[in-house]
Amino acid sequence: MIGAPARVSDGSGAASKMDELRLQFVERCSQDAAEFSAFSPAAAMDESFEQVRKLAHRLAGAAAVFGYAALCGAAERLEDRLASADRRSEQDTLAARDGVTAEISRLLNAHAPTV
Amino acid sequence: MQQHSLSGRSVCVVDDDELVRKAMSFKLREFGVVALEAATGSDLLTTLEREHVDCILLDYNLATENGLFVQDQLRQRFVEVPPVIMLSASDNQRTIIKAFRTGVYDYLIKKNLGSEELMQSLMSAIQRRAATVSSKAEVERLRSQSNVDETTGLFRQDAIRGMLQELVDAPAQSRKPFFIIMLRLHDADGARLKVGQVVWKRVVGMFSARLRKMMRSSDACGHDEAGSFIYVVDTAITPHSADILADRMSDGLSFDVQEEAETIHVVPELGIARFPQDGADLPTLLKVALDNVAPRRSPPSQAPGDTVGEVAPNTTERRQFGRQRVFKGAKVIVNSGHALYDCTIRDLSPKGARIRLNTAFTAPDTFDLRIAGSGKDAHCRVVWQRGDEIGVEFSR
Repeated sequence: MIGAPARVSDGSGAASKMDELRLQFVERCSQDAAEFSAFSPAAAMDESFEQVRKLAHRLAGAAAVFGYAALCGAAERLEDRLASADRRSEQDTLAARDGVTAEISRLLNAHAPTV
Repeated sequence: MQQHSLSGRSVCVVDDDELVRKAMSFKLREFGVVALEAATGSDLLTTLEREHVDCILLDYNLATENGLFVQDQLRQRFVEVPPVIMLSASDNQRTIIKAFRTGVYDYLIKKNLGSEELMQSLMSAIQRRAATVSSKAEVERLRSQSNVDETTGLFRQDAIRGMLQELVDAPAQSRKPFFIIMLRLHDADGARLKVGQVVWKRVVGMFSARLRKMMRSSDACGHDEAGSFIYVVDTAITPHSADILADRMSDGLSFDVQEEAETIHVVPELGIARFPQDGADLPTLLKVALDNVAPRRSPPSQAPGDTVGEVAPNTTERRQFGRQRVFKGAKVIVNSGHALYDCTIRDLSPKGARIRLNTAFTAPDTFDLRIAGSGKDAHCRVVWQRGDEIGVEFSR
């Protein structure tokens, strides 16, 4: 993977630079998760659908580049769902949304500072 | 890490997500690539104007535009566009096919994209571009060295003039007379303005093709200035033969071209100069040929087909009776009517005719000619035959 998470950092400048970018990505995921959670398909305006779809698209692309395949897949499913004709179908759209937030939670947990 | 020869190559990463741009650029730099970044199609255009870019990594879905649109813009703006590798999180087949149809070099799916795969794709795209550029440069080099003009397939101006200069400069003992027939397309400037450069170039190409077909293997011909040609005859021919040759060229090179609503009447004007009688140096000779340029048949009127059957002005007529240019169907009758051959009468006078046979055959010394619509047969004596053309004298 282009930016696959290193299991063990070699401490070099190169690894730390990529680690730094990855951390920025994780932080951004945390903000994205809040937006996804606040999104309710039943009540949302059309603009909100488009906004969240773009967010899912961006997340899918970045997750792929940083090597988080499961998160990428979940974000793609949500993106497809939000672009589909029956996107207001609450059950399916919420399931896709929750799939993304679950993957983000996993990612955040994996990167949580250890005591 | 495997060594790639991508070191020093420049790649522009186009992605609206800054984190992705940075991560991709970082990875490219690890392989020695000079990574440039652009967030939008507009940024990319600016980068290409300022920097040399060997390859473009273009995200399919940018914030306000898609990669195909950007690729289209590149083509419109630049003559030479670096190879584009499309990147996308999507593996939608229709999108991929569409991308390849627009001419992207490769389509990579971000998910599971390995560094090795990315670098191979970049390397391959850059190598292929280098091969294309090198091949184009070679074609350009050969073209510049060629004596042949690309549009006409005839000698270029410098080549034909160089050839003439050699004939003029030949040592006295080996110097021999020659003729220049200068051909100029009637109202070339007006026609070019009317139909436009592209159509006119096509017309000149068609004219040149006819000229090449008519050329005798011993003669040389070149495209001189726009719409004019120099035809050189350096074999021993008489002025009268040169005149006949010019007549034949005038006939064979007059034609109509239908371009949408426009009918273009292509009519050459010809002028002859003879070395050394008309000039001992090339500029004088060319000037005389140019000064002599005149139509050998009337320029066409606006309606197509009006030229047929018109009396052509002929300043070099040497016959006792003036010839009339005609286009009449006729039949050659031989062997007391047992054999008939279709032909077309091209020149007609009270004393004789020039006829073109539809089917080549060796004519007997005498035969009858039945001219369509005349109601009677003319008895003919063959004066000359050249290929499918026969000059006859009426004997009654």
